[in-house]
Amino acid sequence: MKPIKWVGAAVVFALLSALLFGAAQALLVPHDKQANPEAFLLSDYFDADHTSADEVVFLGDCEVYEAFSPVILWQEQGISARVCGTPQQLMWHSYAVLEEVFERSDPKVVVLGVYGLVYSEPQSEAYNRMVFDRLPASPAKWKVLGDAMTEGESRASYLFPLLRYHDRWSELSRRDVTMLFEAQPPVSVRGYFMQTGVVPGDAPGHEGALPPSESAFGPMTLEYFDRIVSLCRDHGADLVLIKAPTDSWRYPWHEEYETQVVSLAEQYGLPYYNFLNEIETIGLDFTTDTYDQGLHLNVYGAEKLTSHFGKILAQAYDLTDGRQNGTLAAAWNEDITRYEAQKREGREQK
Amino acid sequence: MSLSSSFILFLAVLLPLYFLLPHRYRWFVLLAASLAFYSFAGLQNFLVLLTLAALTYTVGRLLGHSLDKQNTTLDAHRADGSWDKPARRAYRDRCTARRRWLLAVGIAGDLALLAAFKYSGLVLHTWQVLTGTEVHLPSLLLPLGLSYVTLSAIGYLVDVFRGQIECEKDPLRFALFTFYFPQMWQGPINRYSELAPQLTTPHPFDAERVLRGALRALWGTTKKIVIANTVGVAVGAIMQKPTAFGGTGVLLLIVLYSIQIYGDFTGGMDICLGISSALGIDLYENFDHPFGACSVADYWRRWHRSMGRFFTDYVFYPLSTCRLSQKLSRLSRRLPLWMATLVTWTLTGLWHGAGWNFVVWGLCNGLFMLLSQTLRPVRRRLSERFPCVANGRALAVLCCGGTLFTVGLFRTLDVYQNVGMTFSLWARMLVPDTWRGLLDRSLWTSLGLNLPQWILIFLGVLAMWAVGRATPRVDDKTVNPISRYLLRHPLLYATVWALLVVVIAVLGHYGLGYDAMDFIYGQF
Repeated sequence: MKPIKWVGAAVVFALLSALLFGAAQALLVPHDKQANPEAFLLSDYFDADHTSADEVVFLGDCEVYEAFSPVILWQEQGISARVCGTPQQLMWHSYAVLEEVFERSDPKVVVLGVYGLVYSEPQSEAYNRMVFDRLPASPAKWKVLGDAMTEGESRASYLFPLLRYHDRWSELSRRDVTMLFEAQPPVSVRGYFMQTGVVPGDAPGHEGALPPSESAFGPMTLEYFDRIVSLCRDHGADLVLIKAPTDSWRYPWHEEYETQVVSLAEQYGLPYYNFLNEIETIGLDFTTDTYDQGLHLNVYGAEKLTSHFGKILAQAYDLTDGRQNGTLAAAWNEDITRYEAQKREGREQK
Repeated sequence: MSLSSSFILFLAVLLPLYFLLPHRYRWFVLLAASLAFYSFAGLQNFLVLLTLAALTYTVGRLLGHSLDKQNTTLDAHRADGSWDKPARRAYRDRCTARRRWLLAVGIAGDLALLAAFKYSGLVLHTWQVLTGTEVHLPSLLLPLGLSYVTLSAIGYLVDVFRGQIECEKDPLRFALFTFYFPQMWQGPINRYSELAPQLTTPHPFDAERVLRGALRALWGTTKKIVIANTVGVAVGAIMQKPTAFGGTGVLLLIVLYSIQIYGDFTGGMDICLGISSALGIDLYENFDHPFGACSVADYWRRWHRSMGRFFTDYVFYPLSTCRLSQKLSRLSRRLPLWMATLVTWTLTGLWHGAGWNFVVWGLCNGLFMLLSQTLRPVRRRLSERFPCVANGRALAVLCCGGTLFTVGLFRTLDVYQNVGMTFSLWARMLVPDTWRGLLDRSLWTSLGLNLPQWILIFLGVLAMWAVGRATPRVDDKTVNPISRYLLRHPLLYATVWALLVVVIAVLGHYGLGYDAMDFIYGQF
């Protein structure tokens, strides 16, 4: 047995298995963005250019990524903003995303949706995937994963997603192969996920909702909230807490939650805007501004809310009007065109 | 610690450490690794196995001490001529009787531990059914490997009692024999005389041996995760709704469960034997081309050989030659054989699982073997009359197929669990529609597998058959030609390794909420 030959064999093994494993992973890990667009919201952020110019970053769940439109902030206030929301984004998710945001940019304001505070424990593997499958490998991701995983999940499957999605091999279609070689458009406009439908609902209220199962926010949730606050302070960013103006018996905003958020905001000296209290000022009309009977805002509601919040941001923080920056404005123009097209398409479909 | 990523890490640390240390310390590393491995099974399980080891060791020492004392005394009296032959015999008989008691205590202790964890549920459940009284059923989990280690321990005690081996004086060496980690999932049931000397003998680093062992373990993992686990989906679907699939389900189950259990058990054995072989320790080969057997008796000489050997040597032979058998032989010459066979197979069934279905399964096997033995003269006469048929290949294939069918049919008792229902499903196989049902496409799609997965199973079976054919019989001590060829061509070896790793990662049936390395025989 010649050792040199076996050294060569080891190299061949390493290269070949890495090559085959990589190819299989690229093919089998879901990559068709249109099949499940909300799962790829964070991909838009990590694939985007000019993230370093972002001055405002939004974090949170559907209450955030369907309620705040960066295009409106840009058009009305010249604020370059981006939404880094994902479905059911919990505090540990927001923290992990924020770590990456600060790696890429130096935002002056971080806006955090408070609905994530309600959950004290990891909820679902699917929602974990929507965050951690998109985040690049980093020590922060590794650490947060330990807390975020539900029972049965393994860190290895986040490091090598093939281990999670391998069983798709028997359901592969031609599209899975062709999509590998096609450039796919973003699923959002700067993280805002547009909904153009109108399904009227009553004005917000959570009549019929069950009382909160846990009245106090969980210790892990509070620990990650604290980490978010510290991270923002370390990077010189202002943290702003918001509650979107939606409330329903399915996802109620109980008085117990409100009291705790107010107390947290006071404890950390953070501004907190509960837009449920400003529905009339914003001008929201739940016969036209919601696509699911008041559970979420559609684009018309989001534009009103963003316009209102934009004024607050512009007044309260020292943000740059980026519209004078030619390169940035050009990039925004592309996004505005796409935004308008999506909106028009939605209107036509109606 | 199951066969998971942490186990791969465990091996990655153990192998270099084992070979880097001087020879005399290696078995300490093995002991520490085995204890560490078992500690992952939980403190309670660890303590159970430790109790078993302590009890067996102590009884073994007492047996050894008694035998030594007896021999010394006899030698002394023989030398000075103070005892005549009858006196010496009387003394020997007294000592043997004492040792027999000791042996009984040791075996009873070992079996009590096994029974407490494995059979208490069955006993209480049966009591509840028979008496109608509510009994609290304890939820005791069977400690990993206890079924296998108990039999090894009993074998050790009997061998010491018989004077075939000397008792182990070093408790740490005995602990290593008990806790040796590769045997923990599903055996083999090792003999002390075969395993213990290897554990402490220095093994020089042999790169070829390590690579051969690694390849075998990888192939075993492929059989288990890719083939057995995938077939297991269809088996599980039939198990869930046995009556819905009727006789066709039984036919399918015979084939599918045979594939599953073959991939699962031989795959698991390949992993254990491969790892052990890489460490320089050869465990007993548990399989010898079982699906090439031409009779049920032959099948059981090839399938789970270490179990067959244990029950033959420690149950069947002693039973066939005991006083009761001698009395029974006065009634009929064949009666001792029938008694020994049926008792042996009842115990074999019980050992396999704590359920009456396993007892019936054992009895079916035993009765079938006795029946074919009784019919042997008829078969002989037929083959003398029709030599061309008897020596033909077609008959051999038919016998082989018949054996697989019979063994597979009995095995459905293991899957369906309900004995009455199993027998009624066997009867439903005789309905003509049963065979036609196999052509129904909806049947195949209702089993939870799609076309590519069925193709994978087919290719997997082909691969297992091809590798099996190339593997020499157990008596043939030559190296497997496939590994020999691959070891001569390092690049090809590396390519096969890379392909198998990717095949396991991609085509393997594992994932969230599913223990891919949960072996069927690991539950026995």
